[in-house]
Amino acid sequence: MKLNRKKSLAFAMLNVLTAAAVLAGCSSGSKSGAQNNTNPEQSAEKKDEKVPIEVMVAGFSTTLPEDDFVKKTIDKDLGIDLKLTLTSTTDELVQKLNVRAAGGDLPDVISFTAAQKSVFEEYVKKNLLLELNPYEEKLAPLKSFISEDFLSRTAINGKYYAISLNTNPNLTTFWVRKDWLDKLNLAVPQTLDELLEVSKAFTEQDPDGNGKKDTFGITGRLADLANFVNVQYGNYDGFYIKDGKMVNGLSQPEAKESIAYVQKMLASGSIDPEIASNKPENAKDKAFQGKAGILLTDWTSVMKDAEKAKWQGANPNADFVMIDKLQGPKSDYMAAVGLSAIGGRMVISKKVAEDEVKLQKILDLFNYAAQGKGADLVQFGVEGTHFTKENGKVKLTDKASEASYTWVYQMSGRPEKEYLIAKFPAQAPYIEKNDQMKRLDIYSAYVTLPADYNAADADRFKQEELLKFYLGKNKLDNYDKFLDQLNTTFKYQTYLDSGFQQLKDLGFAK
Amino acid sequence: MVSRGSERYFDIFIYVLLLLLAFVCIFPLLFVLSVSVTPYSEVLRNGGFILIPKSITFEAYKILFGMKEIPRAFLVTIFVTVMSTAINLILTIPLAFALSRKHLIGRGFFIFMIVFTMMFGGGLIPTYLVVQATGLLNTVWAMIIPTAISTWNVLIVKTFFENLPEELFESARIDGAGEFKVLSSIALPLSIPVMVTIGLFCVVGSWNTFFAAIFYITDNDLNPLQVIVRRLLMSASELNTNATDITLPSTTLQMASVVIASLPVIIVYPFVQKHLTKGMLIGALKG
Repeated sequence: MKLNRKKSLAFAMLNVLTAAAVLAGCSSGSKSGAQNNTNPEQSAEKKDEKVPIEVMVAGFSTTLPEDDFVKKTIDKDLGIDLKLTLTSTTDELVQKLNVRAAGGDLPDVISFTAAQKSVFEEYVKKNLLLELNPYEEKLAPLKSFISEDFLSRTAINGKYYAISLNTNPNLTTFWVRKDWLDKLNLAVPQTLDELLEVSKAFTEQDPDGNGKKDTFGITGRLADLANFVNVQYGNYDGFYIKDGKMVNGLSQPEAKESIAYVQKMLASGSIDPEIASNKPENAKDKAFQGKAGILLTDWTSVMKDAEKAKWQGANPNADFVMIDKLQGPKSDYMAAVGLSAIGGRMVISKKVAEDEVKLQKILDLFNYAAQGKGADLVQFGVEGTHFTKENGKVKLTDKASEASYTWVYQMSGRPEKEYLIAKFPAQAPYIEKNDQMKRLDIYSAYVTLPADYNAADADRFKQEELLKFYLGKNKLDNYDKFLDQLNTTFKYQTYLDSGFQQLKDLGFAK
Repeated sequence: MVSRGSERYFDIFIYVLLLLLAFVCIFPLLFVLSVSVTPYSEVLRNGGFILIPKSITFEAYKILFGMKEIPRAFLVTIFVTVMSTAINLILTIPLAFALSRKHLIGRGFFIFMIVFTMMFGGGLIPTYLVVQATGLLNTVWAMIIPTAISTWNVLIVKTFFENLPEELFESARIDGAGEFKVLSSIALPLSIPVMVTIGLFCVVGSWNTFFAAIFYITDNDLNPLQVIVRRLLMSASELNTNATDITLPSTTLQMASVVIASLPVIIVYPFVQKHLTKGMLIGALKG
């Protein structure tokens, strides 16, 4: 740090002596700690000096190893000094960013998760992020790696501020204890009704054979269960196309029917009694401990090697079967997925634009991670060491676990399905099934919230009231009254009107 | 005679109550310790609840100390704790001693200015800007200097010094001692309990350094122990993205990390307990 500062000071002084014209640009550059490279006389000297680039990512429990071969390779290939700042949570990332923004010391590149849309919009509003419209050409490799609209799909008023990454969500579905089904001579459920029957049997017929009635059927989170049932009625709490017309699911007749079904499920006494307060890990633990026989979650929570070891360790005879097709009362949709869903937003600090060389290096970094050797490096590690290629297909070696941290360097995302199948060969069948589960397309994410609509308040009210309906604490006859209150008191109608209009303008609604 | 009988019942009642209280305090610690030494599959088989481990393994501890972050974080934390406590004592004692002398010119003003900081603080961002401007960002000193002096501790020590008999100081002065001599030869030897108390406050406080590290440190190698432990204690509900690439540490590993992070402080307590109660009583409550 100190040395760098001294050096940049020395260069600043050199500038004063050689070219007065660049003085202004230079002093602002060195003040912000960035190295100034606009002076042609210096560029030769600078060439062997590595450009420092800081990227901030929420790494959760991921840490970088002592011998970080990804960093070393990238540094060598691009002539940069890449520094990754990892935080433990997304909240911590925002806290850190906010103080650093105040100190004029933002990291050069920031990775926002898909859920951090509002933080991203706030940073755009505060004029902290670099507008990327002029650099679309230079990022051309991302077009084929991510998508044609990798910039435009997260545009704000026609301006691009983020490189959006692809996502292929791990869908939530039912995982049923196969050994319990076999013991009770039950078939794998094909319909929602059959699933409920299995759930009842798991509660009443002592599937673990310990002579005690200490098991139940479905566990998971109530919101996920209600959403799943809703989708099985062909409905979703959001904008979607029904019979060729754009609708909002909350006011459709199916909404009420699906709530009645959830009530019926809860009344059967075969659902985890704590389902309304479950956290994902509680529900998982209950299923792994053999307290519940049907877990509502995605494949990563059940089938990853580490998870599999947990439930097999607790009971060597346990086995889970994935329900990838289920006929509901009105449809066979298994999930509702946003059409414009993205995996995250990569943004560049506005300050970087003061330093053209640095900016170019950052653009290079994105392109590097999107093609050939670089893309392989950040996905799988070093060819020959961590993976081999046969007919273009990636095969991991037994050293691949050393490369399990490389995802934090995936600046440009990854081709999700191919990546997962290569990375989790043992789980490939579930990944394939996940990919083929029937989805209802949702358009809600295209809608920008109207200014006089308070989404947080309305959503809270909506969730609380829906919970009362699910638990049977409020009668379904009052559902229309609830909608009225939501539409008037909480201005949900304003949101709906604006939403339909926007979707029409975008050409989705007919 | 009646009174002696009822006294006995009262004693029994007190003992039962104290035992219960002790159990309530020890229970969570025992739980954490037990889970940390039990194989994870065993934990799951018992419904996640184990108080007395049946089979013992130190696998989790082996994994923890095999991670390069943990030993390094230990060193960082120990350095921060030792330096921070030393600096705190060195700054607190002379300041408190000076403020405890009634003839100090402007004493009221200084005390007011010090107490003022207890009520009103600059807030996070101004503090960050100061730390940034002083070049402390991303150094271990960012976790030491900003908390180099604690108002609360100064007031405790000041009150303690004020309660020492003035006659002692006077006789020392008559024998020709200067203020420094009075402080080092008379006041300090008499105030070991209060020194131990605020010393322990500092030790615990800096051992648990977390927020300073979160805000001022971006270099992964400078992270103190608590930041690493926080990373391990990640729960699934906090993972809203990339869940495919991250495998959460098992409960066993999480509990083991809690043990190694809290054990040193727990070990220190019994040794200083005697002084601690004294120091707290004399210093704080009378103030």
